[in-house]
Amino acid sequence: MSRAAPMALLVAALIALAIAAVGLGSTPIPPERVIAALLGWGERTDQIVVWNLRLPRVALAACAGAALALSGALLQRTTRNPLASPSILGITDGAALGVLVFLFAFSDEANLLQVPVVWQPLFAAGGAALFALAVTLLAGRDRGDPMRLILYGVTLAALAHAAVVLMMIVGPVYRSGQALVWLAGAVHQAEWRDAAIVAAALMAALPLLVRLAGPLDQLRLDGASAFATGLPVEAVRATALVLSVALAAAAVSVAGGIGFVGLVAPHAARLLFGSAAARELPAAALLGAGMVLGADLLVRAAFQPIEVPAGAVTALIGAPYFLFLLTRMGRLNA
Amino acid sequence: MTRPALLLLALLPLLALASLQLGLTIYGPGEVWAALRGAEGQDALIIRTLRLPRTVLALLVGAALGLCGLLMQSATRNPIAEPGLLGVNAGAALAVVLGVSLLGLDGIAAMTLMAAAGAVAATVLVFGLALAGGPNLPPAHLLLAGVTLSALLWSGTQVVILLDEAAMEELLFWLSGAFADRPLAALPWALPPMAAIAVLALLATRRLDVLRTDDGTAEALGVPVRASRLAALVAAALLAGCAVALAGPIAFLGLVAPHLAQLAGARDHRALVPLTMLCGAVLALVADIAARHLIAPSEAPISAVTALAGAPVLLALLRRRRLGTA
Amino acid sequence: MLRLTLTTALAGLALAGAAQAREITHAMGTTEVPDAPERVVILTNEGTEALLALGVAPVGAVQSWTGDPWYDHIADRMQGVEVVGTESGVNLELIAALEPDLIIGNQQRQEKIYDQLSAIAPTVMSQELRGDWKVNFDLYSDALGLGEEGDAVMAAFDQRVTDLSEDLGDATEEEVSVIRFLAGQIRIYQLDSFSGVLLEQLGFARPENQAVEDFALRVGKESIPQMDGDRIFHFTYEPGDGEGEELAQEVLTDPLWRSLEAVKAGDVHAVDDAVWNTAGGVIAANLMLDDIAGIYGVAQ
Repeated sequence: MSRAAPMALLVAALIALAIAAVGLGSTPIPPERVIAALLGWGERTDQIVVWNLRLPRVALAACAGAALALSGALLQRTTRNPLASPSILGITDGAALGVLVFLFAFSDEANLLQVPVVWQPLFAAGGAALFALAVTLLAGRDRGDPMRLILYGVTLAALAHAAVVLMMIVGPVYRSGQALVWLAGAVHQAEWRDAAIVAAALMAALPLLVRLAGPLDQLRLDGASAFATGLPVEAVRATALVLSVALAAAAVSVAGGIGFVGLVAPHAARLLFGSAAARELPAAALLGAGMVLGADLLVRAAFQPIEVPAGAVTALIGAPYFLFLLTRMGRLNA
Repeated sequence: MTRPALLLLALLPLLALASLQLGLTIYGPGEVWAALRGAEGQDALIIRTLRLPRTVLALLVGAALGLCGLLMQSATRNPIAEPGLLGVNAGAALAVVLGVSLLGLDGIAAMTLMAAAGAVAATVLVFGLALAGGPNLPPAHLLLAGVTLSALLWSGTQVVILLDEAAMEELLFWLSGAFADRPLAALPWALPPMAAIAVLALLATRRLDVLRTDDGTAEALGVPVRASRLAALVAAALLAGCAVALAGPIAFLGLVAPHLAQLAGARDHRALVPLTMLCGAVLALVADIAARHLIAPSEAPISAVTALAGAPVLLALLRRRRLGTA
Repeated sequence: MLRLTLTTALAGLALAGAAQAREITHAMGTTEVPDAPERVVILTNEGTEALLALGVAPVGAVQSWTGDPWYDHIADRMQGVEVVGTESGVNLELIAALEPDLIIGNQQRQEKIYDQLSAIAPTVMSQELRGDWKVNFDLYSDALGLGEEGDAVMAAFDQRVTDLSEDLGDATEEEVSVIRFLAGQIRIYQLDSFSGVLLEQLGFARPENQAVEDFALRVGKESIPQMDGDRIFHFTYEPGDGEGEELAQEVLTDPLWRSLEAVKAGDVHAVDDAVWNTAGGVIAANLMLDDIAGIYGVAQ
């Protein structure tokens, strides 16, 4: 009961942040004009800025942040490791490889893309899923040892990264610039379609997440006790893992390699709301959304008129917290 | 000495010679010999002023990274400790980029110092955490902490460079090491500490052996565990810092070299220390030769080559041993 | 649904605003543009030069790759022009705020944001972004409704090329080598690059490894012997932190570089990176002709 109020506060804070993100930007629009534009009245410019530029951007930032945070929370639970995050499973680097393969495979000699660029997310998601699958298969032999999943993830991520670097050097100059921006993770080019992709993934995951909340809590017990409660441990773990990969792949495919959200948001959620899945998961999603929104707001304010990828600064937001976490874990272990 | 060890020793001069011969233009041993004796002409210049320095650099940096990995692995009893994976390289690179762009530092000496400082800072962070967690922190946890810290430091580097989009090309440069066309001016600064640490490691082999057992045994044998471990880690960090200053960040070499030395039959540190340095040098030479041919006429970054070759080794290690089990 | 109606409404609004519209076919399709656009936003460096050459001052432009924010050779003509980000990081909001009536971009750079740009104003996109800027120039002048003026600029330029080529005479039999220094790499430039196209039009011969329909080779110092020619032009991409310049100095003092025939003969020329490569437009092309005329001592 006592935690209901903070959760409401969090929702309110996120809404406030979203409103600020719609109102602020390279050309600040006063609140009354934002509201007018939202209702379809205001000036044409205001309407375009609000409807075609800021709202998709805000929606994508929020959805991608939420998806990454949920993915991280699920991963930390299934691996029982507080340091697990989507990028560690090779998902981000796999997606990056997918993007580069796309850019290079479909470019002709004059560097022209032979297919519309809207297909790029498909390849990113494909790369992400492929690497996550490879990691899972490799670790498959060692059932019930989630730690090995992460070790294989780290190794395959290093491989993918090496391939990415090589491709950037071999490939045409124009493309490597594009790839670098993608790698950093950006939402400033967002349109409604991008936000819709991630939102659809979140919607699809929602019913499963609701059903998983209970079993996920039981999973926190050790394997034997969890099994004794009649929980299909393997099935729960596999479902959570697949869900985690799918959410991360969806987010990464359109927003690029935004880092640290999947790592930090679940921790913050646990710290604030305890570790019951029914509270942790929604709180993590809200915090993740807030992190990316905040990061995007920060780059808009700090670097204008240049658009710097928001992913470049999520680390700055996540870093202090991560360091705090490391020292705390150290103390707990000691 | 074991047979594999002798083989490695014989391989080194052969590889060094090959490194002088192979590249965009392939030279015969005669041309190499003439060039080394001071012949004139473009070919001689290529061999003497370009291939010779990069060969020397590969030998030194390879040996340093190998030793660095060994010291980390022994001090933490962790078979997958390595400067690249644990974020030490990333710390050094970030420090250099920060030094250049924020503090306006210039010159090789300052860069070398920054790299060393960054490496030591990152080492303190990662291992401070590991050691605070008790001596028996599972290897995987250390790796995870290192990888995450590494990602954090890289994104710091990325922010600094991305702020100036025109400098994007340089990001690639700092993300990946190379032996070719590196200014050797840092050598007088980096060589003395590297040599000193190598000598110290050779003198302290017994301590390193004892460190690898467990704390109780070590104390009983009269070895101050904490102090020795700290010294080994600081030495490892300095080695990594020097290596980054010389050739940029290179991953996986420090991981693979000690294991290769063990495969070659080295059991205790009296054999491990020299053999690991030898393996590191051999691996660096092989990687450098591969880097010249992989995407010719361009040069592949060494760290991409070492990752392509080293990651499968890590995979094999993971499959052979039950490392991650906590 | 709401979005759909909104877009339709906006499109209607846009149509009403530009009564006399023309259709322009470009890389992303066909777009109706106003007859005489007055507020133009330009999203490529070479496009900025095209506009200036046609006497059109853009209301907004992406900043130059080097320079703060504009290249030296266009800075005085770009006063008061709003910076709207960089070629690969366009700031959409700033463009919207400028209320342009025409946006000109490039597919390679801005395909992803074509829809958003089109919502702001009619958007025309060129396809390639390589050596031959003339193709894009034609499209840009058509889009601006300045087809005739564009033809005039182009005719004048072509005439200059023909005159200079004649004046150069036998000098064009020289194999000219084009080298660029960047942080961490050296590039040997080939035919399908800005300098390559113009040198070819002038009739210059090129060394074997450069007489190739490609962009550039990315090499290290070992390839210095492959950089030789009867004459070498080199330029340095210097984003401002000294790394490019440092490499250039390192190579230029390297004994291997000094062993090149062109260097021994003193036929080596440091030229401006913006003019010879990075700016990539009609103004730079004219300046490059000036450079060549000056270097060969041909009065123009």
